[in-house]
Amino acid sequence: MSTQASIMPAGAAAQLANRDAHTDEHQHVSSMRLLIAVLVALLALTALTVFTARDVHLGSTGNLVAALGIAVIKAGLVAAFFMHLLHDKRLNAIVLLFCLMAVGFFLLFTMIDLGSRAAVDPVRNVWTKEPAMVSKAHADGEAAEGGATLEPAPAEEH
Amino acid sequence: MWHPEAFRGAAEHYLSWQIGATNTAVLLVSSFAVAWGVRCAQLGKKWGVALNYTFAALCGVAFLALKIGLEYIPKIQHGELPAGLFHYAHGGDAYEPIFLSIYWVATATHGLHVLIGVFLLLWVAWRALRGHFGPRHYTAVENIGLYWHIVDVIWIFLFPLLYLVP
Repeated sequence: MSTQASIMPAGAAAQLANRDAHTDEHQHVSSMRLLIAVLVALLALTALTVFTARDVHLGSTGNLVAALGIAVIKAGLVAAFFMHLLHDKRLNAIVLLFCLMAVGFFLLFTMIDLGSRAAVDPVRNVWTKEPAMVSKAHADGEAAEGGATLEPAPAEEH
Repeated sequence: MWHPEAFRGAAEHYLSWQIGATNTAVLLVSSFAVAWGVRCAQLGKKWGVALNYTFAALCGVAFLALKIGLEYIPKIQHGELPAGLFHYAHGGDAYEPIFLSIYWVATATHGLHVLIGVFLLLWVAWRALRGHFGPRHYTAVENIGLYWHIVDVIWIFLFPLLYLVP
């Protein structure tokens, strides 16, 4: 690139470079003020997520939603400013969201059998070395929670 | 099949949020340095690229040093290992090995990508010093930067999910 520039008039070199569609999408230069503001916001949100998780009691679900909500905001800041997504073609943002959706589906599919897995593959109690006891207790627990449809239903009701 | 009590206890018992938070800050600062490095590349400052990317790589090394030195090595010594390898003597809940399985797989996969990123950042820094990039030719700077940001984003989610389980 630099050799081209040196053998051409500056104007012609600039024109040639401007026609280069590949580099043109990257031409947004973030100001230092913006980058520093994003860093400060990210560090502040990290402090906030530690604080809400440890000292603000919103219930198990509430705290989880708060922690993930803050994480989504942080990831959004990184993607929008550090990764220049905000100043890029809209298509890139759509591709990102599509990928996130795909990841979401993949994770969701691994959870399909969460309610019934214990019926066929009881988790062993590793450190007490008493797998039978734990798996039985767990299977009973599952039955009591309504997972009994997978097994022959016991005759007597608890 | 959900074990919230096991996970809540495990997060408190096995992990120190201070180490996790410090590592989060280290990665965020490194991401800032990379964003700054890309800005330097756009402005044609090769030393800016090289210094920022080298600094980000050092942050990656610091991240791994904290992770391995203060978490992995003590955990291996205490037997706080995933699934069937687990032989820790002071466990509380029968399902804690599941938490540790998730912890080990998630953080080790992430750590491997940090390690790869350290080499990639140093490679770009070295190329920047050799004058390989210009204001309109810095694709490698940009792409390795994007890779590093994604590694940072993954950690942004791993930190609250593992260290601050509600």
